[in-house]
Amino acid sequence: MGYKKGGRFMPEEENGVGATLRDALLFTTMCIIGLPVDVYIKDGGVYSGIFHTACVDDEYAIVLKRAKMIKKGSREANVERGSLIETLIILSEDLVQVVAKGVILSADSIQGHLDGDNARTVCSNITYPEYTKKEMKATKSKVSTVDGEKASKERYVRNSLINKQSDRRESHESLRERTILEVQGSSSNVDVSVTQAQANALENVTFIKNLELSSNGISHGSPPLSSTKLDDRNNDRHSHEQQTPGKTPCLGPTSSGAPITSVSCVSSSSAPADLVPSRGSIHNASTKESKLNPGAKIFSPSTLQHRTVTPPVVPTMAYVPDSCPVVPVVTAEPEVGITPFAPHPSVPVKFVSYNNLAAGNGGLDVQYAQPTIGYMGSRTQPARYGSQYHHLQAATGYVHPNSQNVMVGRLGPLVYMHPVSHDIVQSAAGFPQVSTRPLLIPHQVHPPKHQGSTAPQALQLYMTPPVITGLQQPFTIPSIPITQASFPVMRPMQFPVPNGFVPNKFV
Amino acid sequence: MEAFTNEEFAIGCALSIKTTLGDEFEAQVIAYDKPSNILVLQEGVSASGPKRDIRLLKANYIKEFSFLGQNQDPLDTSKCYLDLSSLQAREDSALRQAEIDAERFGIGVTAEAQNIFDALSKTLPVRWDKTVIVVMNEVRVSRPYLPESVAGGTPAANERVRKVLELERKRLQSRNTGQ
Repeated sequence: MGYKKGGRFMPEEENGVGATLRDALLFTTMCIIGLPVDVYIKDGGVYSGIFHTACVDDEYAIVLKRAKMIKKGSREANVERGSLIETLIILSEDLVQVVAKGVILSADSIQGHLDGDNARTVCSNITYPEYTKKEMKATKSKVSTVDGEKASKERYVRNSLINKQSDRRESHESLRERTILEVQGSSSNVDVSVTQAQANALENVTFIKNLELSSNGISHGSPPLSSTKLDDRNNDRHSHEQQTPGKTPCLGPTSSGAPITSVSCVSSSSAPADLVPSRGSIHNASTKESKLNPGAKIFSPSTLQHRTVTPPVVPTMAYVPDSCPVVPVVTAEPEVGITPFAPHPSVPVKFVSYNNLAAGNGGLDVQYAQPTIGYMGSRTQPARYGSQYHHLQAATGYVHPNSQNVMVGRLGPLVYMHPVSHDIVQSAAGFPQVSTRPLLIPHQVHPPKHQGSTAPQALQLYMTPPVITGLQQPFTIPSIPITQASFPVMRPMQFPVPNGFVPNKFV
Repeated sequence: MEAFTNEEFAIGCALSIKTTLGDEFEAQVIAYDKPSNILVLQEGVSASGPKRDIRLLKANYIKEFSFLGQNQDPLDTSKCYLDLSSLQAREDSALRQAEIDAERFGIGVTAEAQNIFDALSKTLPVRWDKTVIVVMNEVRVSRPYLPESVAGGTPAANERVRKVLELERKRLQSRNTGQ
């Protein structure tokens, strides 16, 4: 793709250069697709519409959607002033000029369009460390401005960086969703490559970028390294900025401080995670299993249900390794007693119900109840609540569901990222357990209330920890489809749990 | 002529261009596409941010131009990246938005009528029925969109629309005089 400026207009190279010339035009044309443009016609008329497509063979004709004449030309046209034309084709001979405002050429265009204007300036370049060499010049000025107000800006930069990454991830996801529906479960790497292929096929210009992109993804591939990698890049980029070693270890902590940030953080973490092949494969496996598993419910695609079912009977510890998300959670949590339930959180909501049922039916309630509570509390605050408020519980099981629902509602809109969904799932799982407990054991009924009260608090806290977890664990991208599926699941699950239990209990 | 083109339309040139339609602007050459004779220009590069205005100008509609300076190739092809899905999404959303906007525009109505429509739409559900503003699907406000021209609907709705219309008219008037 690297053609020399000088060679462009050399007559003798016309054949060879022709293509690249077309490329430049083609690229700019594609950059203004979907943007409102003003088209000047030969007779002086001006039409405004959404640039739909163009013919770039020989003649350059364009197609506008929802076009409107905004200035009448000298000649009679078959277009009435003021009326809206669904599709307007402007032939080459009529075309004088196409004016598109606010176009972004180059690599950052995608990000720019995806996220708000705010982050773009500072971040667009920063986000792509790989591109640094070429972009450096352009970036320099912007970065320097950042230096000017280090303290305040640095955070901003980082946030925006994170946002950027999330955006990029989003873009990839969306692409993938479109292109690779069948492959859904496949590892993100594959997805990326597919995307590349697509992009390449359609647009040669993309080629180099895509390569870099893929390399990017690969670098992110290893989960533990991903966070560091990121920071390394940051350091490279902003070595002049105050990047303290303390911050370097991972983005998670820094971002976790502010709730909003944490959300974005999740996304960023997810981005690297997406690329991880292993994760993707696991997810694939899970999805496939679900397909194979007749018992699996529609909403949760993952095999998790499978595994979940077993855990009640056998200590879940064994499963921990299996469920990717769980592992970090388990480690994070200090309490051993919790561990049995730990696997659950990773598993979709469904699984929660199983646990409850198993516990309730088995008569193991007492034993598990405390752990569960502790587990619940443990995320936000270690088992204290469970132990302390043990006897105080008087609330009915229903209270919890409500709180859960509310919580879920909040969580859902805030973050539609995978990690969040995971968290939600976890939280949901935890709650159902709690609610069920009370039903099973009368005196433990009380704890639910407290938990209910604590739950909201916990939820807030939850948000961040899960995020961190998400960062550490790279399974995000593949899970997206799953996550969406799981959301609907969540509600049904919770409702059923209390209901089912109640009848049982009363019966 | 060939040489002329080569030199003057070299990539990166900053040109001041006058078109045959009377447009005059300064822009930098991004590319020149010979087969279609289209000059790809960008404006507003110096402005903050990566956003710029792009012009695709047929070179034969250039009446005159002057050379302002030579810069670097503004289009670094190594960082040209297109995300087709995002392009598509952008277009889709733009179309949707255009559709929404289009419904808000009365056809064959005065600017004042449109202003009234917009003002009403802030508080009440409105739509156009040709040149008549239909409020809440029952009250019709026809030209000249005065409180007296409010017709139809239940008395309560009618009264409400009258009131809102009156207020909005006052507001519009004060805004106009304020300016």
